[in-house]
Amino acid sequence: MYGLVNRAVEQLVVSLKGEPGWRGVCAHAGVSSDGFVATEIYDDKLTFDLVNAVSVRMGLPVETVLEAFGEYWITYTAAEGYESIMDSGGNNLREFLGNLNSMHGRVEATFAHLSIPQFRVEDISPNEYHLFYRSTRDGLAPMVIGLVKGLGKRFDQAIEVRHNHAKAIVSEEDIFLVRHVCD
Amino acid sequence: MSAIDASGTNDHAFSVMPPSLSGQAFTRAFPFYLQLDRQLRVVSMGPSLLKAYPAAQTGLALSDLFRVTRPLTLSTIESWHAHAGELILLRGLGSTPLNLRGCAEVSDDGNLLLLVTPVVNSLAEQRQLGLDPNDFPKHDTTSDSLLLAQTTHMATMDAKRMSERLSARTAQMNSILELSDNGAVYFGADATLRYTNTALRQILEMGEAEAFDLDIGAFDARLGTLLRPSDQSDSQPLSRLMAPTQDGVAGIRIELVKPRVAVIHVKSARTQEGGWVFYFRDITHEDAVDRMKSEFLAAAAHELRTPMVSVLGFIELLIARKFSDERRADMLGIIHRQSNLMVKMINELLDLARIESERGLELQVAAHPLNVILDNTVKGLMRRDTDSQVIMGDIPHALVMVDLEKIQKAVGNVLSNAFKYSPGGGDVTLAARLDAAEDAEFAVIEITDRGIGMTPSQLTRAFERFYRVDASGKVPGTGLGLSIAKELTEMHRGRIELSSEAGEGTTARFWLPLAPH
Repeated sequence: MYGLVNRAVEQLVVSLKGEPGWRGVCAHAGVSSDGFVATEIYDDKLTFDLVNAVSVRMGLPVETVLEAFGEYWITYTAAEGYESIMDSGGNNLREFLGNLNSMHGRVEATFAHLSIPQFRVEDISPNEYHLFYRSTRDGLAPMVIGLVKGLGKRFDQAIEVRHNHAKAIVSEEDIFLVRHVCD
Repeated sequence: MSAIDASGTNDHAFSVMPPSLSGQAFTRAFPFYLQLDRQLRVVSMGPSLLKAYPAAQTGLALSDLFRVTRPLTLSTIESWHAHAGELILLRGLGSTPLNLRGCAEVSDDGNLLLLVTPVVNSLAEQRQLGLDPNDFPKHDTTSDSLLLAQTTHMATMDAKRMSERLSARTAQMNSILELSDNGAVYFGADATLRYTNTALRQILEMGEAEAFDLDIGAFDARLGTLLRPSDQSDSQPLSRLMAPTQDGVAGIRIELVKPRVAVIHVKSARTQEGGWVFYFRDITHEDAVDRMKSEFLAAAAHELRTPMVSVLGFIELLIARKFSDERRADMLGIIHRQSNLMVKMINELLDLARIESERGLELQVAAHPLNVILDNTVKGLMRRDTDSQVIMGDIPHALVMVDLEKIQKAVGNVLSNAFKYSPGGGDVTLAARLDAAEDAEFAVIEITDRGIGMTPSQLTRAFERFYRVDASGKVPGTGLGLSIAKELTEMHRGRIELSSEAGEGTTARFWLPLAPH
């Protein structure tokens, strides 16, 4: 996993529990708390170990941690200097999700060694669509829910997200139902 | 004009027309283009250029919008034609931060086409121009380069932050290791010495710079020269620790004779990067205490066995044989005395054990008048079986900081010894004075007898447990009284001294701290 992801986990924990909390998480995970380099590739296991450690130390299910992390990722990446890239993604959630592959394509073109997920959208109705998510990694569906919720907040749009179909042998994609809630 | 066909071959036989683009496709491919007429006025421009530079309107002269910095002296369309295909640099005029780079091409109608793109060095500059990645054509890597630059900058900052954290952690570890009384040395995977703490250098009497001259083999050999000769068969102790079969955590015990006599426990661990860390713990004191405990147990068992054998022997005689009433009474008297001796010895052993375990924590220290302490002690020792008396000398009025019960026991033990070791009689003198030492004030109690005294060698052993000056057994006692007196006095931050001469007598001096004025 990209070091930026581990850094975001660190920042999330520090924002909630401070530096001592982060050192406790690292000690639990058996990971050095010295930090991560954004452009370095780290073993995926390290990231999952950190997420598990956060789960144990904060007494939250892993799924909840991943969802919180997904939501945090949106504000974190914008704050870390990628605001303009986020801005170029679109003016609303539907548009942004539709352009997500193109945005990821730019990242993949620059960092060819990264394994980046793919997304596509199929509309059901004007306020309802399916988001298809394909990744070489397993178990990150809750994070996608958090990401979509975080984007909903970014665009100030009230939404509901449901994980409809988990990735299985018969389907290589997770499917999420996104519904815009009218006030 | 020759061209390269779709197969990539350069074939003069088939001239292929260069591709042309429709307006929309051209705009998508060159969103920052600028088209100028023969008077160098703006005819049209790309949408992204207009977004970044709203002042750029059709009909305006190029010179109203940009300063051409390369090539220079381009004032006519003809001069532009002469530089077609060359690199051009344009700087926006006024407050616009827009700079463009690209080339000028001449179109079929003789107009000038500037195929340019913004010069942007950071995502912040891109934002300042009001541009986002979608304003750049997909084949233009400007935006992606900015992403890379941003991420590289972030990675640099990460590395800097990690470096700072590591420096801070190194400082912490150094502080911890420097505070330790135990020595630590680290050798890298290349066997060179990388770190020693002060404690290690003190144990081995080695300078810090000098230590860096040693690799693991030289260090081990140097250590070997410091070992007790009996240990030098194992002249390279660290090599033994590094052996695959050795349990580094359990460690090894070595005895140094240089730079000072010391017993050291050495543990080792292999680090992740293949280095070795050795940890030296000075166990000289622990070792001595262990040895003393063993000796004490052996001595206690021996001392208890003597009266026990006597008791057992007389009981066996009384069971097996008949004796006159007088003889029988004698034997029972011996059994009674020896049993009393054993009880006393056990009680004193228990007292010693308690004193050691309490280590002064249970002391009820308060200011007590010196004369009261000494009067009480003397009264407690009034003896009817001897004419010898305690002659009280001068006792100054002073308060001492002591636990009354415990200090009376200490003084009582010494007074008792004074009588016991004066078999020919003779008075015992008890006096006191005030003195100062090491910026503190003390009451010095002196007990002097005219007894058998001690030789210098006997004097050096006087405080040993079970040591008896009179080995004949004629003087009753356990050999623990002085040990107890010493322990009790030292618990009060005081001390006890002995001076003696064989055949002349002994003087004991207690130094007890005075109460604050």
